[in-house]
Amino acid sequence: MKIINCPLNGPRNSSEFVHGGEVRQMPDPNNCTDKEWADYVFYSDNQIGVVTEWWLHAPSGYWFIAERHTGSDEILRTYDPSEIYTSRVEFKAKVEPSASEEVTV
Amino acid sequence: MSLITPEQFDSRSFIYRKHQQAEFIEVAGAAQVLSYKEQSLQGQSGPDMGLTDLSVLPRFGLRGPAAGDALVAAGLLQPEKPNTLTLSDEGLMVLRLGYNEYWLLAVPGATVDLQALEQQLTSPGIYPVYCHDSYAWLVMSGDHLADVMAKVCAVDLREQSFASGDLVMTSLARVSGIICHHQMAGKSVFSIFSDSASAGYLWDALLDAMGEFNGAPSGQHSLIK
Amino acid sequence: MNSEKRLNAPAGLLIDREKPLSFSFEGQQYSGFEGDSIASALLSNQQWLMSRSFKYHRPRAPLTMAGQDANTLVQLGGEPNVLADRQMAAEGMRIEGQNYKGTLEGDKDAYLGNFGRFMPVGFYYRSFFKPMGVWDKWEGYIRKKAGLGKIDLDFKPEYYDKKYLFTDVVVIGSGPAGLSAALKAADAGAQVLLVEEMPLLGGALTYNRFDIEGVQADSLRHELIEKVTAHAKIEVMTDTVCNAWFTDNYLPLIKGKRLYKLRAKECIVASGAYEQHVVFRNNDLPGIMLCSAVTRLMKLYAVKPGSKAVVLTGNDDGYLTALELLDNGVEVSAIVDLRPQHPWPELLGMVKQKGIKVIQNSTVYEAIPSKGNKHICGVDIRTIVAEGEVSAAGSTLDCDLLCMSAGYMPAYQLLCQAGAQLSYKDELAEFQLSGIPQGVHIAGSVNGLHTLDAVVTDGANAALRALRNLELSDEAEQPVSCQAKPNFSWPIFSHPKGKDFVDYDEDLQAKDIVNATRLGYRDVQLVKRFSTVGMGPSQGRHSALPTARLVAKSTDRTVTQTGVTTARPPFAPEKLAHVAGRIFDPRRHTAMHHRHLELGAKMIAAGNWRRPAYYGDAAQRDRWIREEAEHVRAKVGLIDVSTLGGIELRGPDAAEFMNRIYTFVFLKQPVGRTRYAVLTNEHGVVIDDGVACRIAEDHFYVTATTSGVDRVYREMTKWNAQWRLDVDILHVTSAFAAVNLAGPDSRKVLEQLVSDVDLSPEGFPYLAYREGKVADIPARLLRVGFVGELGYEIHVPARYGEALWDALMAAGKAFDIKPFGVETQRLLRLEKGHVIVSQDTDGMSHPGELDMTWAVNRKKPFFIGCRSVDIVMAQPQTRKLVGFTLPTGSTKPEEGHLVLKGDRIAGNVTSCEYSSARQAIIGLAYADITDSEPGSKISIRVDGVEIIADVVTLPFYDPENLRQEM
Repeated sequence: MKIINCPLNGPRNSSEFVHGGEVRQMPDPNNCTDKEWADYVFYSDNQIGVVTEWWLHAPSGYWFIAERHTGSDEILRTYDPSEIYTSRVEFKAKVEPSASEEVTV
Repeated sequence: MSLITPEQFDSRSFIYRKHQQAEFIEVAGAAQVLSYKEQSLQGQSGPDMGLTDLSVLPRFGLRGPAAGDALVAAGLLQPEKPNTLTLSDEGLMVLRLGYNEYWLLAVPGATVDLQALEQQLTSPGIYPVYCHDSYAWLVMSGDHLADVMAKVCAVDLREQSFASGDLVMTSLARVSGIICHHQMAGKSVFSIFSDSASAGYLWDALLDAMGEFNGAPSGQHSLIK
Repeated sequence: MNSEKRLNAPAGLLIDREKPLSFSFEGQQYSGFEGDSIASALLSNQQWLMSRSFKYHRPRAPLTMAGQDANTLVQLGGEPNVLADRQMAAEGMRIEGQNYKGTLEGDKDAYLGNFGRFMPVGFYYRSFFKPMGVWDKWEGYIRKKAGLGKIDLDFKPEYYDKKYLFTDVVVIGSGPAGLSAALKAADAGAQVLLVEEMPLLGGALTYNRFDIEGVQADSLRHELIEKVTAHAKIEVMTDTVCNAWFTDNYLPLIKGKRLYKLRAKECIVASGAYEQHVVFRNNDLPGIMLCSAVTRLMKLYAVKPGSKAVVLTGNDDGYLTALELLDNGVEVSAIVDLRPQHPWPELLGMVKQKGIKVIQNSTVYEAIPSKGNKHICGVDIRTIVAEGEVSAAGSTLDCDLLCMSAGYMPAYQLLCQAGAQLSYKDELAEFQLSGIPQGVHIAGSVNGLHTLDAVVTDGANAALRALRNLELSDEAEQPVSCQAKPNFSWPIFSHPKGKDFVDYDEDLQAKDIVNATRLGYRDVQLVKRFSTVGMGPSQGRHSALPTARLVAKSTDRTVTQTGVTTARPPFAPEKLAHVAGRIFDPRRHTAMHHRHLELGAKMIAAGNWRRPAYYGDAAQRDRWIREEAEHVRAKVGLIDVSTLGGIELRGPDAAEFMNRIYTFVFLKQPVGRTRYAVLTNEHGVVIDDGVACRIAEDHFYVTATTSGVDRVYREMTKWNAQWRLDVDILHVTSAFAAVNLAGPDSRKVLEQLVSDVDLSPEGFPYLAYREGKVADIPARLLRVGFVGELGYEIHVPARYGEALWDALMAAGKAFDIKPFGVETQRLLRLEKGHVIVSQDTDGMSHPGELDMTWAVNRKKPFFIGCRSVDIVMAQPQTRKLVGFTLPTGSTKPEEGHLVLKGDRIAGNVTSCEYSSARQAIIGLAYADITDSEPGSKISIRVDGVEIIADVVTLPFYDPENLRQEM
């Protein structure tokens, strides 16, 4: 069983962790195109290379971020989400539709 | 012999039915096992390993950005690093879970007023944690702590990697829990905090694991000097 | 049968001559000593025949004496397939042979060997696939012939368990390399675990002869073991098999009835090498053994293997075996050396001096059997004229023992699992391992080293590499060289009459492998699947090398290109009991659990929880549910809802956070009010729901479904790891015990126990939230309407849960209060048309399909899935969840039954139950959007018959919702 090095709890068996998907930038949900939104929700690059992923240490309820190589399955680095998410996220109010309905999926 | 029974109190241990043939005392408005009758009949030679249910003992938790500073301001011994604990001479145990969650507990025989502390430790940025209800408190004592725990837990809990004052949040017997290494009555013990709803299951699983080391339920008297 | 026949000490390292024992084999009594394997004890009694082969039912006897072949599989009481050469004999054991018809000695199925040419490789695949149905006719007969041993169906489970282990360095194998590695690592301060499969440390040192005098092995063994056992930093586990290598040096070790899960920082594999057999006709006769098996038999068990031996060898080790035989009183007729060249001069001199005939450049072409193939009685020796080809005529020699060694195959399994690769060195005729990954180290004969000095140095070097990774030493490794070339390149002599076995387990002959390639299975993986080579219990320990060579030759490729098949875990057979171990199956019980049991509840699983389904015996389920439901509608009932998920949100941004997580608006939710909360995922699919109580401006208490709360909590914490709102998210499910007190009399019951809350309809209206004391227990009170009656959810700290239940039951006595279970609750909410997320929803259900658009606010800037909800809601809706009724006498549809629209599937039934309030069968189902209006008809297929249901207006009961708002 793989060991994952949790930034808070140290190295633990991977069975203590829950995968949370890739770290992705959400497009502006109110003003992006349908295609941009569908890309965000449904598509994943799925390439061999380093991916940035969410992992949860379930017993402590702690989310962190891991950089993992999908070819070797080696985890190169793990760190607290505050390294990436440094400030409060705000959502813009919805603008009138029409701009977002040019493209459908 | 006292005639205290758990059901005479509103506050009850999650596993009080496991304590057959037990002698109880009243602690904080609930019944705490003092000892088990079978063992007192056997005289002084008790089991090599003990498992004690301290679920009814008082404790409370707080967390949030202001929690750590509040502890310091209250003059309490704050665990400096995440996932460590302190234990004062008065019997106040402070667990630090992760970065900013703290639990305050009174170990058996403690002379500390937790209720007063709980009222004192309130301010914006501090949020109570209901650890008295969401977690059972079990204490494992004896000479084979790491050996027994290795049968239920994948974390290395041998002395060299898990010193007194350390705690881990992990999975034991497939239930999430917190294991704390500290001293009681001059000896190393493991305090185990685990989901109160699974406490009966865990109690049985731990006793089963302790079987090969002559383990048995034991009352709180065994944890007081 | 007794000890006189045993060789004198020091032979017999494993046996205790002071402790005789007796056991039965095939009904016959045999004697042996403590420490004997079943096989060694039987051989000491001249009982060679131990099993019948898988396909041809040929008599078989031990080949390796180390549990590496299937020839010694026996039935031990209720346990089949026990390896007689690994299982220790014990007093009173009852052992039987297996895979025979009649008796082991006179197997009536032995005639099958004569039909070998009619049963070519792939026989079953090719013979029984057409005409259609032919397999069904033959299967019973073939199944009876196939398979080994008998399962005891009255088997009593025994206690097996598991334990974790931790170490700095693990050394797998305690031969000279392993012992040397363990000492080197421990001397530098590392904590070492030394794992040995056999009962005794030493590996080859316990049986192999390395020098002419035969003293080196013993002296080195004593020296190393003395140091190892005295070393405080070394823990030794014998009789322990390491059965796999998993990522990050996670190793399952099996010892007795326990599976240890070892985590090692560094792993040194000194697993040794398997001596290889020579392929020639009748090479499976009892009395034909590997050289190492013969020396094991003598040195470990003091059993004299025969009286007149021939040694067939491709290396010098065969000569040393001949000397060992002589020393133990076995006559050696000849050494037949496959090689044209001689061994080292001193060894040849000594062999000749002892009067042993040496025949170079020759092989045994056929072993001559005694009657019934029961034992070898001679050999036909031929000169090798070309690779695999022999002279037309030869000479014969009498013998009752043939020892053979064609070379070695590294025990590569663990290392290949770790990612190492095998490549074949043509000049050495040997597979070697390369590409050993970080944290894993190779040492000794598995590393292609065969002289004792080289092996010992290699062990120390492996330890140094491990120590360097542990930062415990920077000492340089010593150079290692080994001149030995023990592998003969082509020890395969195919015979026109066959029975030249490549794989003993599966009765596969040389031509079977070649034929597989001719049928087009050129890849060694395909050869394996077609011919079954390497699939038997020994997993290719002896068949992999000759198979690779044969496949390479017949497909004109190199042996490296051919390779060997993947060696997946487990390394050795393991019992399901080891895998299962002691089963951890967590159960969660609410604080009132024992009260439910006392009241006769039928408990059912809800995730890890156990909940009362209803109170009464399962035989009368429908009756209890109906009665409980009617009681709630007419009087008052009490249900334990402690399993409901609970999450607290606190802090200045609590309302903002709620607003982003749930579909509804929460910023302006008044304090002291509850609000229905629906959660969609990013796909716009409804994944959970609950009730949000606003306790204070900056404090929400939200419930979630029993099965969904873990996921909801995870999602919330993950989102806030990104949003960085000033809110604290606490999972409080286990902190609260909760009940729903429901029914027209519920207020009257509660009034008995509450004095600090105004319970009047005006003071505590529908959907309000209050805090107060119920029977002196601090409580959170929610007026909710899930079951459609006046009702109160009462949440109290879990430790008070049982006392709360008792107080309510006592106070309710005057009002005839009755408990009700979760199945009754499902009926009650169904009557009210309330959806249960995950029962009435699926992976596609968006709010529009569920008539929940009222709970979705699209004016606010954001909620999870908002954009997806916009997109799906903008598209034409195809289906909708509708309520339907069926007349009382109809067949009741079950959840999952299909709703049809013509010949098209339009949806399915999600909930269905008989409602006495409605006097009809009622249910929820997904229907085509064109059939979703009340008054429509939908067709439900129930057990193959279509029945027509009426789509009706929801709810089924109390359409004005007057009862819950009383």
